[in-house]
Amino acid sequence: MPRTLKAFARVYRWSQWADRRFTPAGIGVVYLMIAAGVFGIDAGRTMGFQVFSIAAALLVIAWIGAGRWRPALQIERRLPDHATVGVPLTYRLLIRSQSPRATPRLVVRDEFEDRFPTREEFAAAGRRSDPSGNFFDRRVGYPRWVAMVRRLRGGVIDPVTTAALSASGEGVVDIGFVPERRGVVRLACTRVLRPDPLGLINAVATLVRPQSLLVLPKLYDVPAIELPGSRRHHPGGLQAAQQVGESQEFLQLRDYRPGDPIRRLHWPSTARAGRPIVKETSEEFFARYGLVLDTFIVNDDEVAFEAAVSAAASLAARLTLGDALLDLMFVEDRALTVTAGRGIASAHALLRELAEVAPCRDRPFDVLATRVGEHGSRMSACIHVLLAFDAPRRAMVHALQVAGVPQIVLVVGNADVADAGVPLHRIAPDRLAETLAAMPTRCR
Amino acid sequence: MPVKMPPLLAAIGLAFWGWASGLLLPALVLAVVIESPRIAKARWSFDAKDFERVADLCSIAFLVLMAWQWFGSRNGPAGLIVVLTWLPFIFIAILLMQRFDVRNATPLSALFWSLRRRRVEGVPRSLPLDYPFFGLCLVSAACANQRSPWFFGGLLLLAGYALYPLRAEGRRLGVWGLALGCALALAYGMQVGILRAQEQVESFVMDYLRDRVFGRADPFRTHTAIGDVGRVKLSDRILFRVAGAKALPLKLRDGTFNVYAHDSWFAQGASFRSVPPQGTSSWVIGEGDGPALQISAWLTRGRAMLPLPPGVYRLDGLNVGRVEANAFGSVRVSEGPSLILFSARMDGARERDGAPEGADLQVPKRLEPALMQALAEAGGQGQPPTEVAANITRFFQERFAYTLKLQSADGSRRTLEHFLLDDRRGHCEYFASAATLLLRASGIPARYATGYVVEEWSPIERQFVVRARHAHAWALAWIDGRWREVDATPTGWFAAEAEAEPAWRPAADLLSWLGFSFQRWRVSGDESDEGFSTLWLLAIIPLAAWVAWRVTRRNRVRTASTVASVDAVSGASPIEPLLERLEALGFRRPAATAVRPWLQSLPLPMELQPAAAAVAHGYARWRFDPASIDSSTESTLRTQAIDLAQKIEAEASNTRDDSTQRHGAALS
Repeated sequence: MPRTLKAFARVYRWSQWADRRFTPAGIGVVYLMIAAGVFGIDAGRTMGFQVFSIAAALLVIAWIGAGRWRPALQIERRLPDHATVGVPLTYRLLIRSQSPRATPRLVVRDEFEDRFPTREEFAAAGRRSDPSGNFFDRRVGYPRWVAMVRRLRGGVIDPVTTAALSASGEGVVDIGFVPERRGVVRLACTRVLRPDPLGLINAVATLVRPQSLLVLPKLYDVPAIELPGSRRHHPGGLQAAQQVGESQEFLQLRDYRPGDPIRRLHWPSTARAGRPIVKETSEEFFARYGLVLDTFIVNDDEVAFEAAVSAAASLAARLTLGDALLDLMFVEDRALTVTAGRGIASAHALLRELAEVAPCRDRPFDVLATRVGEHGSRMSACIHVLLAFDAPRRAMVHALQVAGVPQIVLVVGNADVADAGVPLHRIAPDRLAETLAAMPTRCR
Repeated sequence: MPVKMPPLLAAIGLAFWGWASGLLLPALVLAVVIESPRIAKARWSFDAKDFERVADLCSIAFLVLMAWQWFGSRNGPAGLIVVLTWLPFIFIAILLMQRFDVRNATPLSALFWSLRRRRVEGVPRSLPLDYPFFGLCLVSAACANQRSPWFFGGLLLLAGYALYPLRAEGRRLGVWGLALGCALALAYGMQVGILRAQEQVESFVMDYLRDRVFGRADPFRTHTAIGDVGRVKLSDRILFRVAGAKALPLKLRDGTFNVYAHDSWFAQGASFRSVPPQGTSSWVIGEGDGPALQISAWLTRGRAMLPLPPGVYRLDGLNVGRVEANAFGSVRVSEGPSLILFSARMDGARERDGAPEGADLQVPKRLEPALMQALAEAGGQGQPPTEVAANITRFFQERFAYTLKLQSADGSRRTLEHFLLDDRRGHCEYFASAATLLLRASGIPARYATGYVVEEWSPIERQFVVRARHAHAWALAWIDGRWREVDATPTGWFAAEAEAEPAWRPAADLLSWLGFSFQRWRVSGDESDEGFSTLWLLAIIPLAAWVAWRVTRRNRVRTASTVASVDAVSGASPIEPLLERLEALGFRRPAATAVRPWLQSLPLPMELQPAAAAVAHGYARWRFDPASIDSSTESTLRTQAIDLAQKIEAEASNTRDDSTQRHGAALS
């Protein structure tokens, strides 16, 4: 397998190189040369050798004509803050000519950093691959490997032709692509292509300018969800609600009563009055919702995992309301809770977290269940996005149910969802939009 | 970005292909058809599946033709080249379809099956096929093997013509011309080099194969196993089949040689000349009158030295491209199928091997002492030639032994002297070489002949079979004005060689016969080529017609009666003529504005506004609720749109006239 993967990488790099070096016309001439070479291998039987000679000679001269080229250009890439999977993204390249002469139209290719799948990733993709796929893919796997490389890259950027630049002039080209995966995508370099006089082979100049772009998960429409959970008492107010410490919302000063913490003493007033005076802060009541994302991947099903992330992101974008808090809980190398709402953070913060969430393979599910249990008493309602509905997950849901927290459970995949006792909805990864749109809108 | 291409590219490619393949007239007709959309106004809006159907049909036609050439024609693999020559004819349907399509491009899914499995939403990726078809024409023209200097000249011109629009922007034309000139000069040198290199390599490889593998196929030289030590390996493979042989044993000769040097025999001064064909499959080597022998032989790469009986004067039913004969009576064929079945007529009374020359009496100096000693022992000196030949034959028959196990006392090379004077054991090449040289030493012109002995009757096949191990060598002696066979190999060699036959030979023979019968059926099927091709046409033409009907019936969008000429992509809208007229009058619809509100916002005269509203409404139905539109409604909408267009044009014309009149009045 490693040897096969190395061979794939070699073939892939070669094909990328050929794609850069040959213009479409040049590729046509290469095909013509190959066809004429095959059919004309017997110079006594056909005249294919003459067609071959012309095609080969054109390529040789074009190669010489392309030569080495160092363009006097400066390119600056202007990326947006983030992008979203499936939403076309356009950004700009600012090109400055430093040449005293006019620069003709050039082809610009902005390229992603290539990351090749590991042996384990490739094997897992093989297990997931469609058994009705084409024979070559099943036996050899190169198309599957290329699809994985493309996915890891994050998209496909088509080459763009610039306008001609005047001497020391500036130009702008808009580059567009559709992000195909969430997370950080890395743009490695910009290549500028100039065809030879015959128009067959490009001279290629590489301007290295690595940059990263965060791609948020793909979002889908979810229905408006009624979260009936009552407002809960959050002693200490908003500040205390999401971290250690007391609210600074001042309510009144009053005499010390036994049991008041010493830290609540208001020393200036105590000094003035000559008796202990404590500062009383407001106690707040507001709704706080939980959004639980199950990152414990089942059967290496990354498609289901991605669907779960997208579902969670769609819910996070929908649920973050001004007067409520939303706790996103998930586990990576440890249990994490990210809170948004009420001015603490926007839904965008949750989406950024979800953009980079990775499956958890080396922790028990209890880590998540414990974290959810800790927050259970403060939650007004909770929505779970689960990858299965086995005993540990049932137990987590049941515990919240016992605590009186209304819930909605979304299970991605084909798990057995009967007899859950809560509104439970199955999400099909291949019909995500449709099944998300049909999800329950009331917690129970 | 649209592909830039020179005008008439495909038509010029077709014309060149037609010239090279000898089908100029059909090619010109196809070229006219391909370019007819420049004049014809009809257009269709084919979808990707229509293209795929036609592409599949072309592929099926291609495969059927390949199969026909492979199985049904005697051309065998060489026949595939014939199919390649027809490629433009086979695949022109796709280009024709593209030309009559409103988009003038072919979806890539028609060409690549993999794209059909993963269809993506939106406009399918497509490509104008003009350049690929042009390349196809060049390759097919090359397969036609037009050996003319004009062919290369034509290629050069076409290369320049095709590449001109593709030249890099911003470069001077002179630079492009210089680069092209350099490329074409280099191409000329390369093609000359390739031709020469192939000749050299072919010569070297064939030399090697002839010497080491086939051994007997070189008409100018035969390497003998004289000098080799060890057992000579024999093959039971059946090489020939012979029917009609009367006198046995019969020798079929495939080579005659006159110079002996370094354990090899060479044919010096025996260049080949072409034998003119008579009819399609008869070849006359000389004159004569005699019986016929039916011979079936396998050819290697379509070439072989024919194994022929003495006195052959005519070959019938020999379907090869070329037959050549030399002065020694050897005949070679080329450009043939894998199996030939022919009838060889022979007249034993006529001599066709040419009179003896000086070389037929030459004896290597180093062998002279041994030969003279052997000759003295054989008693061949001072007697009539017939007597000498008989003595020499008897000498070998009585005092020598036939063996395939060649040994030397000290492991060194065996020599002819060693054979003649010491161990007196050897195989037919020793006997034939020694007999030839002994005859020469006694003053009788002699040559060395190679060939096969026909003696084994196959009861399964009911004809004689000739195996590789039946290969034989003998001497030819010029006695009484004729070349006579002098076979000095001790009798019994045939049986000795048969001793080693394996136990599975009968089964192998049966398989061989089945293979032979299949090949004979293939070859004989060629005689009914016309019938086969008619059947093929009967099958393909209705299928093609059906596909064409299916594809064109649904998709026709414009006809000559409805609109003026269409060159660019215009879409299938029934109000397209109206939009064109409006655009000509300066009303161009902004890309972001829908048709209906735009039509209703036009500054039309009051009396035309209801008609415009009706057309806009009809168009909205056609565009967004096509299920509610039947063909008559669509036709009405089209008519309304044309009427409106004519009225708007007339109104505009009146306005211009009024303006001109007012302007004229002012001037006067």
